[in-house]
Amino acid sequence: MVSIMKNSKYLLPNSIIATLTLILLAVCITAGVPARLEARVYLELDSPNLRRIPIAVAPLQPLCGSQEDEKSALIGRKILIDDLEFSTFFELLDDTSSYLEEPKSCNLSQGSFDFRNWSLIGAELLIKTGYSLSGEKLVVEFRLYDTLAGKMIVGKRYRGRTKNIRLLFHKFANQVVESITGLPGEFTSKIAFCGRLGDEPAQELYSCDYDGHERRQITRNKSINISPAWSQDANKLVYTSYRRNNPDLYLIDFMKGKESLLSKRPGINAAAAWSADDRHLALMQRYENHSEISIIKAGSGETLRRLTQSSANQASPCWSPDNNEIAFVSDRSGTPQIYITTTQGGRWRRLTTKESYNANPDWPAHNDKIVFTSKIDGIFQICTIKPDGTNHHQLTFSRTNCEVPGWSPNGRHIIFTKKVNGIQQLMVMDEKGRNLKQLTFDKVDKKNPSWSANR
Amino acid sequence: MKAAKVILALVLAASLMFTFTSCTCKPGDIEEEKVTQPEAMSTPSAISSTSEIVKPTAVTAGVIKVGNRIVDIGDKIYPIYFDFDKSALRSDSRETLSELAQWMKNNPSVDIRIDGNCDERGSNEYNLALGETRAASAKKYLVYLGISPDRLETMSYGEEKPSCSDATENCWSKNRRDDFTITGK
Repeated sequence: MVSIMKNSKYLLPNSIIATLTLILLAVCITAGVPARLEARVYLELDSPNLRRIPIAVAPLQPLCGSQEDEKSALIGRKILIDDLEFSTFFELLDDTSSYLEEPKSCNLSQGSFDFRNWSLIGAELLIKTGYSLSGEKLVVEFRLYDTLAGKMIVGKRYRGRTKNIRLLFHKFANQVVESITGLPGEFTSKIAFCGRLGDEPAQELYSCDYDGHERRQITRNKSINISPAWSQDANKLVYTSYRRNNPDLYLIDFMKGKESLLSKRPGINAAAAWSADDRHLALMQRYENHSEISIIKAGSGETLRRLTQSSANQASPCWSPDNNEIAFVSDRSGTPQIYITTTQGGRWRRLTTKESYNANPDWPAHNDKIVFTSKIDGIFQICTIKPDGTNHHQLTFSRTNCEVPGWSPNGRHIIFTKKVNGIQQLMVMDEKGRNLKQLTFDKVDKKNPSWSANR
Repeated sequence: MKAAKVILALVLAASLMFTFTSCTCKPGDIEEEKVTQPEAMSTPSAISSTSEIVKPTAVTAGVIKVGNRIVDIGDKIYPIYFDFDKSALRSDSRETLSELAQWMKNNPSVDIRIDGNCDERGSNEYNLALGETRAASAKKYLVYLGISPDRLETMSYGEEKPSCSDATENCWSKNRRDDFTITGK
């Protein structure tokens, strides 16, 4: 392994230090009974008639003894509301003019307000937030209340800096989703992607928050960089770069702040995918003048085994959540189709049979639906299918190609790319293909998004 | 006088029109230069792009006549093209490769790298694989024609190094190609 870059270069957006600081300083507020013990299930995620829970987000108040800062209060509330809206679990009652309560008290605790003011306007859940700002130092205290039961579900206090305000509010939004559904939220996750401006020869890697904010440039090597993939723990990123005149695989370790060359077999070393335990990588490599899937050790880059043996081309491996199987693309039937094999290789089965071009499978940790692209009537659309080949659903009905789909960390959303006004943009939708949202709007063409776990 | 003015205007208009049409209706000259631009960027050479305009049909590199000068265009060999989603060689590609093989035999110290490329349609990871086989097809044919495999290196760029970026068949057809670069002399 060769260390190529200096430490500071690869500390990510909202650097981990800030994240750790926030985690360490997040204090469980001990008013009332811990919510976990109650074990009330607010949302049955498997229910076919999943309803959105009405929630009110009270205007942010300065904590007792603190000065008002209208700008931070508005920004913070907007982040919280956007996160909850995105989750698709809540019906936001965010029109503050309909709120009955006069938001005057600096006290957020139970007993300082009347739950009926909130249940009367239909809110079953209520978030109360207080903040104090001194210079760059920001303290925010959150409480999530069940207005019908009249009790607190979760309370947290975070200390950070104003520049990390987004991260701070995203962290509590994660808490809200987890308390209500049992699933982790998606709001402190990152999306890595390749970006190229116009006809520039260079294609660099970037990252941004799940909502498109906080964009950072990851590579600056002026070469062509492709297929970024986050490790499951979101601390590492592998990608392929042509900077040594061969598509080699590199690994960035954000915790150590360093980069290493992991695989440099002549020909492609690309489309790497992490195993569920982060110990191995499956990737495309050249064998006998065509592309096969092989498995290497994530630590050393040492080849463990060649997974596929075929005279055809193989591409785009991804691991099953139980680490026992790998889905991949092969044109062994004459057209690109998705196949599944065991991680030991050997036996394989064909997954897709509809349409003549199916590619880019992604297998999520939290549900059993593989997402992929399928060329339907000449246009690539996003589809899902169960690993046994049943429940084939088309999610997009677009007039332009939808490509490279990937699951969000909790398996509730799908990211993909689509051309909008001639520019390839990042798009996101929920697992059923609803709530479509464009994440990016600038002139940079974006490709290959990879969605990390929460950081 | 008036007539002279009218004639002058007509001549001007005609010359303008000529300039204009020569830009839009004959994309060959100008566009051709654009097509090879990314290649020129990796190995910058003003001479090679000039010579492409002078002789856009040139197939192999070596020594070429540009105006009155004899120039060694060095590291530029013209690409071969493929049909959509195919890596089989077309008959025009075979002819090009035959000329290239002959040229390599005449220049035995020269090694070549073949870069396989695809158009933007389809999965970019699958296209990386397709680029591998497109490069391998050319290598296989050159070996069949008597060139030592040791002189031929291959690489795939997939759809990551387009020579033009419009969403048109004309542009896509230029991106489905093998580029040839001289790596050793």
